[in-house]
Amino acid sequence: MELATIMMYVFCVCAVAGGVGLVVAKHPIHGALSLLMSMLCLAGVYALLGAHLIAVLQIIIYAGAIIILVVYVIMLLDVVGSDSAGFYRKAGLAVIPLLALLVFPLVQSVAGVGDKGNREAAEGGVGCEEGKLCETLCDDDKDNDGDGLRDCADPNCGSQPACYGTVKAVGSSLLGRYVLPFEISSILLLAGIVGAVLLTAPKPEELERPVGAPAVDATDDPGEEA
Amino acid sequence: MPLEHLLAVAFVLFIMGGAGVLARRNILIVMMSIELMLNAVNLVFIAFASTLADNGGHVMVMMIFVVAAVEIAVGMAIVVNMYRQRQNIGVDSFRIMRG
Repeated sequence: MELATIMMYVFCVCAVAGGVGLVVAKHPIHGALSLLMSMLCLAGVYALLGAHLIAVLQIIIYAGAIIILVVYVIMLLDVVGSDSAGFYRKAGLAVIPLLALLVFPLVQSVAGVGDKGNREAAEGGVGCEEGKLCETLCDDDKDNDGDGLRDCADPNCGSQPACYGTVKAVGSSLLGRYVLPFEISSILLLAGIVGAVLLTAPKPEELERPVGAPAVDATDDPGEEA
Repeated sequence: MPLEHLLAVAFVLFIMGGAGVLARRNILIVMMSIELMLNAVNLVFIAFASTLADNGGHVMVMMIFVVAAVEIAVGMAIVVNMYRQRQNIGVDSFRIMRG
């Protein structure tokens, strides 16, 4: 069995283990760390599947932004949970070699050696030069062989040609064929920002005076406090 | 790795996320379980995108990233608000959303 396949199984098992840890966690911070492990392992799976951009985005957005936000809220709220720190300290030690494992698929992605199409292109094989492939075969809606798929899946280029999953290929389809969902998602993000700010912002009457100031202070307009 | 195994892993992750949503009483754990379910769906998208060598699955995963980020931001704002008012973040105290 190939090393990449073995690692994919290891990552899948660890992702499931992280999910179990989330569901059984007593304290939310343990659940957050379990979810972090699950997400990092899924990022490894994505990288091994050739989805390089999504793997990196998974780490940045999920493991970076979302988990940090959850951990901030947990620390902010100071929720009390039962003490199960001993088990999770041991489990945390087990995560360290797992993170070391995660380095492999990411380095493989960056080096491009794990990508079948790239490897064949590097060996001067079936004409999968990256520039040519991405400009000719990855044109939107071009389907010369009539199989209903775009010609990225051209059999000349192996199952995963060089134009699959790279920043250039995903970005061109994101801003080409899927530009309308892309714009709609930006509106959704804006709505999320406004909603989060509105929900957490202090009420207007709390904004009238600085924090810690007495309730009645000497303002020029006495009717303002009334 | 065959597609069926990846789908099985995604199925297990989704079921565990659903179990967390249904069984846990802590709102933070419930929201993280929802994230786990979204991750399972992402895995399905990436598995099929890899099998079909199509980039459309990756675009869909990015949309799910956006939805997950917005959901967690608004959800955490609601949780913080709820904690300010009731000093309790159990799901059972969320019966009335009115401030």
